[in-house]
Amino acid sequence: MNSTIVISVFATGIALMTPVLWAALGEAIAERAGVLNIGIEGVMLFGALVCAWAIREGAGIWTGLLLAIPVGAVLGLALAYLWVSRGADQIVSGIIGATSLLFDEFLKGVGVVTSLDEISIPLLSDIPWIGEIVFQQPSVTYLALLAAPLVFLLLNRTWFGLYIRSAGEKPRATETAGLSVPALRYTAVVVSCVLICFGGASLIAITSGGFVTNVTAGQGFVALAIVVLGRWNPFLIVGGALLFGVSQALQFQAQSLGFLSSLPPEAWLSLPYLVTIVAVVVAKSSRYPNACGVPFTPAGAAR
Amino acid sequence: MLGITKRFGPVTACDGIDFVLGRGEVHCLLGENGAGKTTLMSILFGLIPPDDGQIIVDGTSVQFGSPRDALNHGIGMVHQHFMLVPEFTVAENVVLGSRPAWTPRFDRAAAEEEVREVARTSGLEVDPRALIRDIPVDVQQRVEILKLLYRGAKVLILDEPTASLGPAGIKSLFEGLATLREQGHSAILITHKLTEVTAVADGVTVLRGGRLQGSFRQGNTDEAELARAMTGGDIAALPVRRAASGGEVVLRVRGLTVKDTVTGRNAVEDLDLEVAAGEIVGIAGVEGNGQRELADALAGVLAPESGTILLDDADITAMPPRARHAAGLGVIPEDRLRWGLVADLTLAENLALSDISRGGLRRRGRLLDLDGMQARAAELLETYGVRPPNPKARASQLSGGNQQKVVIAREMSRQPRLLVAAQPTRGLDVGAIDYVHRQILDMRDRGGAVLLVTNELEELIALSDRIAVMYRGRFVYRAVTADADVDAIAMAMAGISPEDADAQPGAAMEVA
Ligand SMILES: Nc1ncnc2c1ncn2[C@@H]1O[C@H](COP(=O)(O)OP(=O)(O)OP(=O)(O)O)[C@@H](O)[C@H]1O
Ligand SMILES: [Mg+2]
Repeated sequence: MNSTIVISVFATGIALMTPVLWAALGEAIAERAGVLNIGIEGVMLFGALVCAWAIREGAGIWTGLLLAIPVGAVLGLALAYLWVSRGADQIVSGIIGATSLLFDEFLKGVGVVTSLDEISIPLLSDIPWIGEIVFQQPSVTYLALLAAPLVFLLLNRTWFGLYIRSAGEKPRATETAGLSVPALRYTAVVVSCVLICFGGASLIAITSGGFVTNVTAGQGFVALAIVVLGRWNPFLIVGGALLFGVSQALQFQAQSLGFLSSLPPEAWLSLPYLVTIVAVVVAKSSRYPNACGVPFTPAGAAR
Repeated sequence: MLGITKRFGPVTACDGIDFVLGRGEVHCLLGENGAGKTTLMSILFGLIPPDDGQIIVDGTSVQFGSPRDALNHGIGMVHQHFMLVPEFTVAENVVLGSRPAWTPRFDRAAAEEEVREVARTSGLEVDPRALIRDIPVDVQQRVEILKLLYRGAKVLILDEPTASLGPAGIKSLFEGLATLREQGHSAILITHKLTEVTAVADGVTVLRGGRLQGSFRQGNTDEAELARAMTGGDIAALPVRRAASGGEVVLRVRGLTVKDTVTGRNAVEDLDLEVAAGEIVGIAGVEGNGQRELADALAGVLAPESGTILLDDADITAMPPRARHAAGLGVIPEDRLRWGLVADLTLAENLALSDISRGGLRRRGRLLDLDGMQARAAELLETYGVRPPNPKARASQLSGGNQQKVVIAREMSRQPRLLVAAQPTRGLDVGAIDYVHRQILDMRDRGGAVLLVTNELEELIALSDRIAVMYRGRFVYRAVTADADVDAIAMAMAGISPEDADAQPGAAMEVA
């Protein structure tokens, strides 16, 4: 491979990782608080839809992206109600949440063709190789890369982070410390869904396509895997997302260059997903937060 | 507390109980399993709302909606099961829940400094940066107490604080309490052990079946009177132990090495052990010296690094737990909620678990024989004195001691060839302890082999035919019980070999 191809694969890879990165960062917050947010795929899809719709109505890409924030918050409230207040089995109802996938049947044909422009950062983008790869990206990508350290700080350097991590490890202890586990988990799920929904919207914003059926193509589930791969650590999660993004870019390249063209396109399409699965399996087993996925009943409410 | 009443469905856990605690007083709360001790104290701590009655603190009537309210009035509680986050450091656990209002930023270094300061003034030494999962139980307990002190608690409620401690840990806990009392704190201690009452208490309150049996002052009562108040009768001494029958070897362990799953160190190191039919071998040790890992390896829930385990000459080293059960192994695990019971299942289901996996209690091939399950459960609950003896109750609704009885009922009723009993009487009341002791002795006399892991020296000596003390994964002391020396055992538990002790007599310590 010559250098232009390498640069283009990595540059495209970084752009393509944006949606999963947002989603995985959001998911990590929920899981750290003890909620396995499997509604992730559905929430991303909603984000994508809202964004595409806003663009079609002529409101512009950024309106679409920003609209995804309140929509994510509302979805988060709904999911938090199911999981936290109703104590619904998180895994089962998460799958039901994902069946909002069905919605997209009604939304076919919301077509858009524009996408966000790349922004070259002055000076930095002139650095050979790195400049072209990292510093000529759409704004949502920069934001995602900025969000990672912020989420890290939120989880590890704030009281709120300490609280939600305790709620994800041993909620009974959180409660005895005088904190409300339900309130913490509500907040975490809402924040989580806002990020995830924004990630879904960014999918529309960076690719010049439109809203087609199942536009998220399982990226929500990829994000779920990336959280495990990244051990709930935002920095490692960036690495995991990059792996997925780059293998996706590679897949496009390979198809367009037509090498190994004898392979069916489905094989290439599945490459990024296979890479992610293999990485999760190969990475030594990591530990879920202890109380992740376990509904919590406050002591006062009849143990 | 005046006229406190709490009902759980048909069960009245507390029935019009009055409880008075003076400032600077250490007060013991005594009672059999299910007497309502934990419930009464959870009410005082704001965890459970009472159905009736009132709480008066310093002359004013208060109502606690949550632990936070109780803490604001200076009342704090350490639970029977510790409420610590294992993945957090000591400091993080202590300050959790006392965020200063003015900043969202969590300053770890400042927290550590503050905790170090509280630890110093209260005389409870800990390393604020250690992870909870890496420190032994007695230090974890200190952290629990620090948590309360940090939040300004003046009244400390400790639910069975000595149940998981060895003699040395108990001694330092009591010393700690004495210091705190001098500083003007009060403490309520829930316990089953009368010796502890006489050792530390200024006052005692006894509950039975949810009712107040009486309040006593130190000096105005004795152990016999308290025991009668607790149980409503006298307890007969254990039957005289017959000499071990010396049958064939049932359990043979060779060169067993087991790694600690968390730290990766060898928790059990190159251990040899034999238990014969008709014999009870007692293993003592301060918690965290490999006894649990040994029991887990025998139970089949922890894979050993190397070594072999033979049960009746069959190699069971690689067998899964179910096959071991079938081969005649019974296990009373130390952590009953984790390994012994499924908290959300009913007692009938819990009692039937091992039978079902062996193909019992089934009807028409695959379906469960539900009536049979209920009937058998009712019978077992009755025999083992579980309260309430209701097969349909969920395991999580039982008091700590009654949960333990359910596990014992299930394992003993199967008449295993070898019984591995880890802390079998932890959290049981005197009557129940006596019952379990009789069961264990009975099993031995019928030719069963028993491996008893305990940190109660009295229990160890009363039951065992042979004794071994574990320290850092090895046996540092072995003796036939008749020849064993209590001081030597206690010292071996603390890691002091007999020779060292001779050199410095001051190192010898008392046995509670
Ligand atoms: N959440 C609950 N639901 C139903 N019953 C309960 C619940 N909590 C406690 N009980 C019942 O209330 C009674 C008193 O229980 P409690 O836990 O206070 O006993 P305890 O004195 O602490 O006993 P132990 O020494 O065994 O710990 C028991 O009969 C128990 O089964
Ligand atoms: Mg109790």
